Amino acid sequence: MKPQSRNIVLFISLTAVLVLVFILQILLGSVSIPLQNVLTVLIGGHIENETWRNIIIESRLPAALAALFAGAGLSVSGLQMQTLFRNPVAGPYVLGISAGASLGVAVFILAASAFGFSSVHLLSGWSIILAASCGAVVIFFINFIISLKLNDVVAILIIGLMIGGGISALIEILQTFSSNESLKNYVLWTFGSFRYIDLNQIFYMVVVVLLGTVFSLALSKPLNLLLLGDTYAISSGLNIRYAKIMIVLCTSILAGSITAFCGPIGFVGLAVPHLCRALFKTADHKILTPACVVVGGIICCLCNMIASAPGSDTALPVNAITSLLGAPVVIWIILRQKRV
Amino acid sequence: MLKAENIYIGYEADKPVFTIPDFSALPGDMVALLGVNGIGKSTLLRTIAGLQKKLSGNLLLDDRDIQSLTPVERAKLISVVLTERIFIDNITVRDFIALGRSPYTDWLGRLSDEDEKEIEKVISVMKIEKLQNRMFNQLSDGEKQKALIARALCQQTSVIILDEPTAFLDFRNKREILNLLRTISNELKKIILFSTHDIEAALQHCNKFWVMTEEKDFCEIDSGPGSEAEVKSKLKI
Repeated sequence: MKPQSRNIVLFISLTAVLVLVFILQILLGSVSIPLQNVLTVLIGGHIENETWRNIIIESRLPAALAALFAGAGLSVSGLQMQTLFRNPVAGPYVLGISAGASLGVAVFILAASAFGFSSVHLLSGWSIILAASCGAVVIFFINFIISLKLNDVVAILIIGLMIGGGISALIEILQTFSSNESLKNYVLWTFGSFRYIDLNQIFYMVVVVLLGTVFSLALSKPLNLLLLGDTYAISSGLNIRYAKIMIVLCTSILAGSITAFCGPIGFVGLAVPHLCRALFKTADHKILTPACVVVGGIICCLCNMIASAPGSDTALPVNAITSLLGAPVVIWIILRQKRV
Repeated sequence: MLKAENIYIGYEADKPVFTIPDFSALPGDMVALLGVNGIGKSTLLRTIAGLQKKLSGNLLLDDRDIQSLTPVERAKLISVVLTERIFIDNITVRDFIALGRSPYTDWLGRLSDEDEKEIEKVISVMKIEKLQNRMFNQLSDGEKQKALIARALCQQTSVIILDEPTAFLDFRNKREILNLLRTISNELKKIILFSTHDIEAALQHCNKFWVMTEEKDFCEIDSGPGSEAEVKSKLKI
């Protein structure tokens, strides 16, 4: 089969899998609702059982959408970072972007309460996206500048770790000065979850992820050229400074806003691009970006299903699940690098 | 025509690495840049390629100042093959070569029929039909070098600049690459400029030699009777 038609078949099958896990996610839960009713509600129909309808619309659908779009956005953002840094272990979590977004949110929630605003009210809409994105952009720039000086796999990991450490220290200091209520809000947020989002907030997230993905797709050409390294990219006619600033903005907004809503979610952004490169056997960002959307969506939907394992009332932190799945991937990449 | 008038090259304005009164190269010229390590060969190549700024003087390609071209304009006139190694996972040789079309493709980097035709042509000129569907990362050093030259050739530039193109290659590959470059400059009427430490091979294949001597003199020598002795005496060998 020609590579192109092979990729189309692969893409269609993966999309089918995505639809399947998405519906499965809504189907499974502590209250069992028949498939037929779930589908009826999803396509906007009416069902007799009002409780079921509420469970689907108010709780399961937002969580499922959050998982889908968080997975997609984080993976696209990870793909861009790996190309920008020319480093296979770059990703929103490893680079400390999630930590940066946490800091933004922490400063926002905790400081707002110090000035007498209600933090519950603040946890919605654009304000939190802005706070998290600002934090993400600042940390990303710091990281990016350091990486210009020393760029190898281990150095990036260590710097990400150090930045993460420094930030948690800052956050701990902030916490000692904040009210109990805002502290609780913040701690819940850090667990990482697709559950605390309502349909209204989902709207913001979907818009940002969709825009970010389109933006990223539009950056395919510069991203492909950056694979060659800076010098070749410039000699191929790329305005490199402009391209890099655009990529940094795009990736920080994606990672920052997703972290704002779902909390820090580790390793998805790192692992999914590698899965996509291996599946589609390409380095072309025109193909990899949509591939990351679909595969990232599948992975996060699956993680969400594991986290809210059917029948149990207590949900596991999503961050724990993704880290358990993702950490071995990082080790695999490092071992593979040594062989080359 | 590639032409220099009194150019100062280097990194700091008050400390030029090298001063060059003049040089020129015409379409079809194959020029070897010779000199000891650290004398400034790469700096000169990078300056001509527009990758770094000259400190002063005039550096012209077809009477246009190389430095004042936009990145895309420059990419249509000058292409490069560098020593820095490239690691890209999961890219086929053909897709890699196709990246050379970037200055001509649309904002998404999609290849037109014309682009595809040019890629086919380059693949047949370079005789790498068998390599085109293989993964770039799995190529040998010699094969990688061919892919890199093919990518540069795809840029359809009047000048191709190569930094030590034969450094990692065994004898057979070296000869093959230099023969290919000779063919490209002869038949496609391009200026090929490359740095090398392999003086014998350069004398055999090139028609022009630029020597950067340890006394910081820049000598332009055309091939002909006595040119071999002159090149060697300038290099003190």
